[in-house]
Amino acid sequence: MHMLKRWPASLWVFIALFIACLIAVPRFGTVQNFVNLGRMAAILALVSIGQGVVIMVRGLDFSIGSAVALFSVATVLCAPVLGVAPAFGIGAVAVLCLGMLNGVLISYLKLPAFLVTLGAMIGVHGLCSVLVGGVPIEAPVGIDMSGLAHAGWFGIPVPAWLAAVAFGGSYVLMEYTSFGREAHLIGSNPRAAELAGIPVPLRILQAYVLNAMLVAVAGAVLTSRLGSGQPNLYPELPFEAIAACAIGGIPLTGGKGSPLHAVLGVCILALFMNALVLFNFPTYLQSMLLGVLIVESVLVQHLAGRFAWRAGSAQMQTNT
Amino acid sequence: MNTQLSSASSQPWSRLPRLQQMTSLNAQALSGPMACMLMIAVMASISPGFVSANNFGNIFSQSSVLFVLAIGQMFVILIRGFDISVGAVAALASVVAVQAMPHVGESAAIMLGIMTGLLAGALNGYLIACHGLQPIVVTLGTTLVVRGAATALEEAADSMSLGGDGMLQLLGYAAFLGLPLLVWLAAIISLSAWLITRWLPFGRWLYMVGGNPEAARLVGVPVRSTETLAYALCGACAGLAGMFLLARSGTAIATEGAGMELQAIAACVIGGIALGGGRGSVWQALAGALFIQALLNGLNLLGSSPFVSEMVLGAVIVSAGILDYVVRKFKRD
Amino acid sequence: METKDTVLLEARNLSKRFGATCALLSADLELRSGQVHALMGENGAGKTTMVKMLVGALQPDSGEILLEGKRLSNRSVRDAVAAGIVPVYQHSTLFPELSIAENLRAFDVASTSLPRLHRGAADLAPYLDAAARIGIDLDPAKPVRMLSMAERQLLEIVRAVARNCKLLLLDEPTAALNVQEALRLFDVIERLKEEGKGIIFISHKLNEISEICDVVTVLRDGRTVMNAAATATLTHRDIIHAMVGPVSARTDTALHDAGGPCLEVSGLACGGAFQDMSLSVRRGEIVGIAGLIGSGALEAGEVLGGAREATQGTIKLDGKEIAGRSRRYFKQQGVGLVPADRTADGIFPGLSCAANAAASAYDAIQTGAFLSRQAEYDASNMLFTALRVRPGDPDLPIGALSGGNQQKLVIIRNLLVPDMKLLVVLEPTRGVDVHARDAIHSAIIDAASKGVAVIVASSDLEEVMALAHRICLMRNGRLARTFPRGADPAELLACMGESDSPSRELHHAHA
Repeated sequence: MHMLKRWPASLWVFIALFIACLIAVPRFGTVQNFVNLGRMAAILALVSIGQGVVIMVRGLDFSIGSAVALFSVATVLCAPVLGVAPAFGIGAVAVLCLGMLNGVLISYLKLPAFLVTLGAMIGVHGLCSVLVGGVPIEAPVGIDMSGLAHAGWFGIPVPAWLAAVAFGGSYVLMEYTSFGREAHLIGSNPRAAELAGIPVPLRILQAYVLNAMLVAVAGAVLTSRLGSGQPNLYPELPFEAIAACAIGGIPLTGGKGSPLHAVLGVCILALFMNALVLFNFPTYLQSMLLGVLIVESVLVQHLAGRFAWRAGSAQMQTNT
Repeated sequence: MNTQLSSASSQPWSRLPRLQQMTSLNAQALSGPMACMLMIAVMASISPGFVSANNFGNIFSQSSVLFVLAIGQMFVILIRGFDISVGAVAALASVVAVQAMPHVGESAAIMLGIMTGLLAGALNGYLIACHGLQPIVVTLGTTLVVRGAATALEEAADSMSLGGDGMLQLLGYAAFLGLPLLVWLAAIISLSAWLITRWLPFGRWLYMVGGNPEAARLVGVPVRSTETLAYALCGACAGLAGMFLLARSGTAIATEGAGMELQAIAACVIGGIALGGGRGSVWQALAGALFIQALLNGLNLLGSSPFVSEMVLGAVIVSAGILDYVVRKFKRD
Repeated sequence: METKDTVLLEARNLSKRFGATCALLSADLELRSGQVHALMGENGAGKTTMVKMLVGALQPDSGEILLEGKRLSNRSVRDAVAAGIVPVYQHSTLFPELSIAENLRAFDVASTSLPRLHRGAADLAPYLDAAARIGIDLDPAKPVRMLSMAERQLLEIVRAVARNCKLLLLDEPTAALNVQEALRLFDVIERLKEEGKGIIFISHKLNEISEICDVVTVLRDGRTVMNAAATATLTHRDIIHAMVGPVSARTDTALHDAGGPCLEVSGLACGGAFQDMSLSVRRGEIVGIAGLIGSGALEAGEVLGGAREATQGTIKLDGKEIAGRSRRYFKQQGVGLVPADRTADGIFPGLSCAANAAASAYDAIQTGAFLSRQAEYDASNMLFTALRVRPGDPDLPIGALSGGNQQKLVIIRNLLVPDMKLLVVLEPTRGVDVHARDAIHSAIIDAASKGVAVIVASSDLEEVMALAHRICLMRNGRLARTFPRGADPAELLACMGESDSPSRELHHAHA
């Protein structure tokens, strides 16, 4: 029973949902469908892991949608001049700089995270629009970027491998290194973390940079898949990532969670979306579902927290 | 020995000048109108054709939607909240109204549109005030749901256009004393909002809950009801804005209004309504909205692309937010 | 107007437990109308708990509160205010953006449902009358944010009086006031007395108590040990004796000899909290910093541990200057800190005991770049046993432990700091039961025996006397005198009660 308790609740939700889909959803259990699912979920998994790390230190990042757009625009603009690989490098550098800027404003200048990243979202979107002159730009003929997105090893697409590696690496980082432990401590009680000698602003900055690294990988995959620079590449990305984290069981108040929760949330979300598509439900239902899931997860977390507080209030000590 | 509780006056029962008392003017309150006038001055000097009766008429008529949204946003910013779903709610309201019109007639359809907004706002209010969830998350969720609902209704409909000559068409095209009727309507709505904040007890409660929530609870203000009603009013204003959009363009578009919620919040902040709550007036919201419209109008006349305008607007919004935060922290320390 | 000298408020036998800690055992208070009644007690005495009960914020487990003979059952502060008991705290219950008039009428505004088209002078009349009665002039249109702290305080009093309060509870009212403002407050209090209002005056400033209060009630260890004693008949020493209680110089625990010099402090100051503190601590030595609240003892400990920045002076650890650096730097130089407020600054709620214990020790316990749960357990395991942490399961969330056991974990966290040279412990056993207290004291003495310099800052005089080689007694922000181990407690108490300047002068606001 002790062992079972260590597995997150969202795992059981995922398993139940998976079985339900196998039974009830038409064309669910096919290899082609799983490959498609993997492809879609890979992007979301990458950014949700990053978002999870940021949420764990009591932060939030709304700018990731504009960040991947920035990646695509920067890459496509530079590719004719520098070649494909260096162009991807430029895209990555742009996204990392954005992440670092966000991080510095939030951790050292102590500006509120939602304000900074919301501003970044707007500003970077505008920047992308200006750079491309308003119309998505295609990579010129002769430059092929599709290698990353469409290649596969042993039948599994490269993006899924990337997501798996990112998950593995992040899981080890968050669960088995001092960085991860300190991130948990900071989210749980920032003042106590400071007094315990933890470099709080530095760790928060590092969290945002780590997030930016994962977002850069996602940006690379998206750019490779589409082969064009689009300011409106994926505006719902931050909301889907936050939803995935909330669904997976990472409280927005910080201090708890792991990449496993984020990935489980992505899996559950992907199953829902996949079912909607296979049932031929119209796309607007997807955004409605997302909205309902976000609110419901936060509500459940809140109510569960209140219940736990009441149950544990007898334990509460007080200074008299 | 009598103790002075005010260094300014030496007589008991003395009052500040009547005008000042009525409008509670002070440096902070003036910042919005001053910023607005500054922007107009700047634009007048650098934009060709900015200063003309025709152009000013344009600015006012274009801002009518933002006026209404900003007023709605004011209600929730006063209680330390904000609502990013108003753009989506406006779109939904317009879609609902257009669809209902053939069935229930124009007036009832308009009422329905506004009610839709009210209900969406009440839902936000319930989740935020009664369950204590964060406004950012709740209004984010409702944005997604409402947008989806609007798209759903749009796809199910035959026509999204206002047919024939109705009241809304009239509002959209007719003018009175040189200004479109919509602007006059916006003025009436502003006046009503002002009356609510000044004369109704609910209006005073808004300032109390935003100014010191603990004290408000202590003196007996019904805090939860006040907060819920504030969000409901914000939603109703969004519904009204949806009607304005419908009147102006003649069609309901489900993706309309995206981005306007941030403009509405920015209008309040630029006007001097601090996000910390407890302070602000209708006129400040309007001044801020005018500032934004003048900015966009001026940039347009300068011939800059819409994307540059968007970037500048984004920069303005972010700077306003950061400035507000810095000023608040500075005041606290 | 109430007849003078009738019993206004009576609290009998109040008690309250929080989990395993007993905040109040049996507290009594008897307040008469027209009386200014001081309520005093050191940290942990139960004063805050009692005050919360009187104002309706907390329900007692047993005992009763009677107002004018009628039993009270206030479920909230709002009920208490409606019954006539009005608290005036340091954080005000005013609305800074609204005018004085709107603040005065806040209760009325909150309960109306009709729009008011005329806010005429008639509505304000009762408030302005009350203000005039107690000697205050108002400009009703002025916004409250333009008023000073002192004026806001007076405004709250005016509002309470106008609404016919029966008693006012003033919590540390002169904390943010200068001398003139405090004198003005005392004038107002005199007028309130004439009106027959009862006043509960919470303060730790002995001079004020003597000047303005008629009687004193002192709480200690959850009990009333001095019940409404007339201040005219008391000396400061009597009051301190009551607050601190019998102090036995229990120095039966043998301390090891101290080694070479470790910490040199010179001219240390922190704003208004304390000035001109100089001190040296040797390796293996335990130095206690003791003093009443407001003496600066706790603040000095916080500065020495790196939790608070000094405004002047030097702190040299093994010759290296560390004053003014971050807490992180202090820890890297080997300074451990056990904070005074465990709940706010010490524990990581929701995390396991092992995570809480290992928080400062990652550098030491990780292998290469990796840190396993097992390493966390192993590092803290021995200490879990040594300090008898119960329950001893390292996986349990820290919320499942009692206050004493949580405190042990914070201590373990510091004991695991690599190469620790100085350990600063603030209020080591506040809110901690007797058994945990012994274990914590043993751990502190043990650390010293291993060569760590230790500073213990505590408001518990007996604890400091039992643990320390030397005791630095702080009074009014200065180091008054240093006592050796085994000194007579009476001497310490006498030193605490001495005033620095001839009587009747009020103290400036502390930082």
